[in-house]
Amino acid sequence: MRSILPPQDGETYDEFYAHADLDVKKEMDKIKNEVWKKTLTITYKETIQKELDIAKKHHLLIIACAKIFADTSLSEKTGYQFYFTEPLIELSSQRKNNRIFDLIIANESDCSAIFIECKSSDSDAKETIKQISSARDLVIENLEYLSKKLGFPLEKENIEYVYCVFYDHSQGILNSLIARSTRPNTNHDTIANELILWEYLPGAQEIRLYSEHQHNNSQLTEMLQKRYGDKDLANQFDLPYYLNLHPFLIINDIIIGYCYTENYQNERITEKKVISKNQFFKHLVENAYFGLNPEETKKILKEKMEYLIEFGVRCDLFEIIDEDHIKIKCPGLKPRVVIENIREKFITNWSDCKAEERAKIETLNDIKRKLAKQFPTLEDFDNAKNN
Amino acid sequence: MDFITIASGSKFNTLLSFINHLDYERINFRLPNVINIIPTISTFDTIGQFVESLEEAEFDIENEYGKLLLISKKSQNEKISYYAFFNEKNNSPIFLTDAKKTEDIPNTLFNYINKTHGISNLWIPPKIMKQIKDDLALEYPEMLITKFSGVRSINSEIHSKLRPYCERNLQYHGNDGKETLKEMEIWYGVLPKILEIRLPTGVAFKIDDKGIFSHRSGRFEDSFKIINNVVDLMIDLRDYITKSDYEIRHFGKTNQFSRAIQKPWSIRMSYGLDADDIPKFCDLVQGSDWNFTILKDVLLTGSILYNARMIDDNSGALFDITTTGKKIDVFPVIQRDLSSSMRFYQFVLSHIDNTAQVG
Repeated sequence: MRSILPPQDGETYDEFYAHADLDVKKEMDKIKNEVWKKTLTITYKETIQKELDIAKKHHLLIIACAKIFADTSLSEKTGYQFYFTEPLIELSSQRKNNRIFDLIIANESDCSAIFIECKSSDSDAKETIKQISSARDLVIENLEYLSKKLGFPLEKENIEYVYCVFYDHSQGILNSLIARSTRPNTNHDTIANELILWEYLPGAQEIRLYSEHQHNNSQLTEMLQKRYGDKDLANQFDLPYYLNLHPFLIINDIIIGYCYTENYQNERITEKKVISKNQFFKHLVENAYFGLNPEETKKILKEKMEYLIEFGVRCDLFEIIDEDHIKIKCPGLKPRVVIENIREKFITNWSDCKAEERAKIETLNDIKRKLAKQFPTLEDFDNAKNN
Repeated sequence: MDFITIASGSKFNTLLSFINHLDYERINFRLPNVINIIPTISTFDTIGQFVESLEEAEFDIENEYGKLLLISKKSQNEKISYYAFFNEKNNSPIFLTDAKKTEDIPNTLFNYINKTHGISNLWIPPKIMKQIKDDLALEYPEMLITKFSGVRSINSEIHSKLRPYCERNLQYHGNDGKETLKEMEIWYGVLPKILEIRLPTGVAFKIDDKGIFSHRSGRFEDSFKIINNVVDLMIDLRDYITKSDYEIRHFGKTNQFSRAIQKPWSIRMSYGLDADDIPKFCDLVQGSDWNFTILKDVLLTGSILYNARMIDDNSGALFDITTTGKKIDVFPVIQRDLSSSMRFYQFVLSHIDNTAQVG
């Protein structure tokens, strides 16, 4: 390889590649594809599978919290009812870093509410507490707005915040809460004192209140400390999706689960994989259980639908047929085959795309080091630059 | 020519009057050698709803004789005819045909049953099949079983003296079928799936786990006595399953909020599933025999919790299942589908536990 200047600071892979010498280009291709992409694709495949798994468990946790307050003996005795998921989602995009809770339960009779955040992984508790603190700020700033939505006046003093985790993650969370509440450094740390911990026991499908925490409502404390869940329930609450659910899972559940299944059954439809936007939108609306009025729901879902379509096209799961139709891009007709193929395609394409992005960064660093070695001194470098 | 002669203008408003007509035709040798009788259970409230569902499935209603209908549908360019009697006693239709069980019945009648939410064939659980056999053997000690097939599932609670851990499937031909089956029950813990029976009254029939009753000889009155007993047993199952529900409830000061509530029905097993059984469960339930698809699932190991949303590939119906081992809760999604539910229960009976019970 003849002497050539290494990439400048701030120069991207594509920018450098565009003017690089042919030999350098070949070297870059080799490093990117043979060294980095192969290993990174495997890593990213594992990452996305884990991410989907965590998302599904998070969904399970939200349902577990919601269903025990959806017309149950617990809701009857405590007065708390599950209201809706993702309170204040409509305001979350108005300011950067706005965070929201996963769901709200409320007690109309004493005008109180509990905002619940669910976490299905044992990752960074510190970061989660920061996010909960930000979500609390959004709640406090919008008390009047929330009161109108709920249909009763909601005061700051009548709000509690819950952090719900799988029981095997609870000890780590508790340690973090204790550490932050005893040594408060930032505004975020104050929430650590207020947070109430719920543990989810999947074997029994029950929620348990951490023994040293208490709710303002003594009946709620008593019933949740004894554990409450599946054995006490006659019904379940169906939540097919929520807005912050992983986009691939919404595509899987709504486009395949409802739209494609519908087409597959309809003998008059020959192009089974062509989905109309109306059909997609109808199922999104029918399965939406947000605290929004019909107009707000439609507005937010229109945006969501366009985002999901764009996401699907980017991952090569769909193609746009015309303004009103998309087509699922995968072989096979039977629902099982379509589900498996679409999932496989998503995992491959997503990992490939992420691996490509990362491989470019790593390759650029490698080539920078390699080319820099040609100029042992600063003088050599300046000479080459001036020539 | 239709396989049962019925004078125009005749009306059959009770099942008994139709059975009497069948026996009259039989005595006069005007019936085919084998008539397949397919009793069903349904959630139709009226004969009108039943007719509507037939029309939706593109059956031709060729004639009406009171509660008895002559219907037909094409299968591979051949017209397949059925007489369908709507039994108002339990709101469940009974179909009679001389068509073949291998292709014609699946292509026409079972296609309709599988795609229609409110009707199901009688998936007869092995334990009920054994009960049918035992009841008949008690009533007719001279009864012969000339053919049977039997099964033993891996988690069966039925005692087996020899190698109880083995899954079993067998077919037997021979006039000593009754004794052999008894021995197979005792030694190998096998339960019957298909039975071919000859009664001293002259009645000969075959009954299989899909609830197809092939009448070969003897009085229809005797055959229908057996069929009605089986239907009565399955009606209890229908009544239990149809208590499950999916409902949108509104709440809030001005009913501004809504939520979807799923009321389940449950299957209880003697041994149940553990996490290692789940991959096999997924594979089998999605096989071509059962035709379900898992849309999405979560398995939490340790203390097992398996949760899945299923699609019935036959009807497009969705339902959720949740199990923590010994019990499977089945939750309807949007609409309850009797046919899917019955087929799923039969799947559990066939592959997980022959003795699984609902409730």
